Amino acid sequence: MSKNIFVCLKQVPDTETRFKISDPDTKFDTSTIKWIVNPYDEFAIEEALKLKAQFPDCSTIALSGGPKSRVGEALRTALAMGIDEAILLHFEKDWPSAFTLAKAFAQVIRSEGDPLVILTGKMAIDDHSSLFGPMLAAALEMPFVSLVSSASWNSDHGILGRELEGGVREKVRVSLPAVVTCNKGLNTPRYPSLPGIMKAKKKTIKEVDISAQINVPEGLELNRLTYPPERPAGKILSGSIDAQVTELVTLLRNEAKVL
Amino acid sequence: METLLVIEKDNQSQVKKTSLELIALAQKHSWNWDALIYDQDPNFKNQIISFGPRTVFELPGHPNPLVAGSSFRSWLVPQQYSLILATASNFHRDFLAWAAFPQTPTIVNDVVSLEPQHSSQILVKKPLFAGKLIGEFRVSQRPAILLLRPNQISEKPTTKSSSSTTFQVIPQHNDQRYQVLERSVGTQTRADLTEAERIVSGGRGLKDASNYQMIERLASILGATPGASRAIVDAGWVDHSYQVGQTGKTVAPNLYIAVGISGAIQHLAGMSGSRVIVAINNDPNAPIFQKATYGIVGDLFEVIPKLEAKLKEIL
Ligand SMILES: Cc1cc2nc3c(=O)[nH]c(=O)nc-3n(C[C@H](O)[C@H](O)[C@H](O)COP(=O)(O)OP(=O)(O)OC[C@H]3O[C@@H](n4cnc5c(N)ncnc54)[C@H](O)[C@@H]3O)c2cc1C
Repeated sequence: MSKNIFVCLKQVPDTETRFKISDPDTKFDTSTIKWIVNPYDEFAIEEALKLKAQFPDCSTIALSGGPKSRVGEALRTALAMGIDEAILLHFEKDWPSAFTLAKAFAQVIRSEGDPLVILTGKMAIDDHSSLFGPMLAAALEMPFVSLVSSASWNSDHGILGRELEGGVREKVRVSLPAVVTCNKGLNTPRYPSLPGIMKAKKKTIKEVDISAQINVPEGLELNRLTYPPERPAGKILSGSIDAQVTELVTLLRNEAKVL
Repeated sequence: METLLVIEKDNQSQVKKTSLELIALAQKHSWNWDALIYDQDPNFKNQIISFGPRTVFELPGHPNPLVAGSSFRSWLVPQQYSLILATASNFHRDFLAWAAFPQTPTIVNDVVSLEPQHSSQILVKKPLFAGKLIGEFRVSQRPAILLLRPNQISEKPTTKSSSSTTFQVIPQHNDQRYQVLERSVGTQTRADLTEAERIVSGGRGLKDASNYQMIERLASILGATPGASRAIVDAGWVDHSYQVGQTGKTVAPNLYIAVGISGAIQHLAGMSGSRVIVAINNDPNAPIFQKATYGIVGDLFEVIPKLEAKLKEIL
């Protein structure tokens, strides 16, 4: 079986980032930002490598969208972890909608062809939207399973475990090809090996310019960015622990009115 | 505005609190609204009618997002809604995103506020980077699907006396490609972290996995949902579903109590939207105190039992 295992990954600011809104206020200062592969997409990369070990005739292909000035680095990370090929979908627009993005990704995946499965993270830690996976599936007319934290694969279906709100667990059978969004617990992403890094440097990353598809007027446009409201300075209590506990309960009840 | 509200049932056959928020919002703006439900419980349906929707549509396919999504998609095409509102949850994201393609492309997750403008636009705010920034977006396409973060609307819906609500069933589209083989009901009866009004979270200061039961106990006295820092999730003390923060859940309860949590930037990002934050930590320089409404600097092993005793006296 020589099919393609696709991984869609997003490059996001490191979780340590403190943001500074710039001028115009639809942008933030990116000069000091360290970019990383979205942590949940690392589970998708690892799952692709596990699938490849199970189906050695398949190829693994990583796709990432964004400005070509930076996104190549995220794809190099995937290649260094062991992904076979990488495609950069170039565009400059900030916050394109999941819809526009899904359509553009679907087109590239269709032209590569022969999908076994398309893996991505359960959410990106920049917009926390979790809409790209299901929309990509819809654009490709494939089924999808979100939040997958355990998987066993066959050539034509997967048995996938997922965990939902309130500790509800589900086991789902999905026909392949399918889009699967990966959660923590699915696997332990490997670190890129030194030979892997060397090999990744020599690989060419294919570039596809999707700006025309992304720069379309949408029903959804960023108006401005703001900082979250400042929290008023808090009260650090003092006195004996007994006194502090008593005061805390009184404050919660009478001042904050949350009890 | 013509609005469709996705209304859910809670464990007591009542309309879920998060759904009441949607109804209150529609009533506040005097929108014409219909309800979309995926539960047939008669008590639940009667309660919905009391709030005065025009029509209640029953969507088949729960909990299968493909069946629910495909059924909803074909049904939606000829409808004339401006807005479709649902609570942000995994099932809603899944079936609505699937259904949105390709006719209803505008969908926004995690909306914290929504202001209709004059020019038929809606301004919506949603947190970015788990709340480090807020993005204000203009929504101009109709219909738009907005997924609202729980606990953002304080108004309560009012009941209407006269009501001529009708019921309709949406035809089911089967899709064999996705089959739910097993579904275990969660052991928890408490609200999910993302919906909880009170949360008690524990961190590495607890020293040992077995001490997490202190968090569970305090949470149960308060009717709160227990949460965790990533440090103790990674240590395997609790499941990942407990994690609050940038790579966990973004939460916004009325009361968030952080016990033995230092307040790393990734943790703060996920919980800074809480209304009242209590920090209990023995290090006066812990960053969590910068976000705290009230702080106790002290040994949690001394503070928590005393707090429990005090709360039991009054609750
Ligand atoms: C990519 C990435 C993503 C991350 N995402 C998240 C995330 O989503 N959520 C998250 O929480 N973290 C996240 N982190 C981890 C984060 O950086 C911190 O490591 C983590 O939050 C620390 O957890 P903690 O506060 O429990 O532990 P620590 O930082 O070790 O703090 C323990 C605290 O307990 C206090 N303490 C100790 N003993 C006592 C006592 N007896 N009584 C009272 N207090 C006591 C200490 O003073 C200290 O402040 C992420 C990190 C990275 C790199």
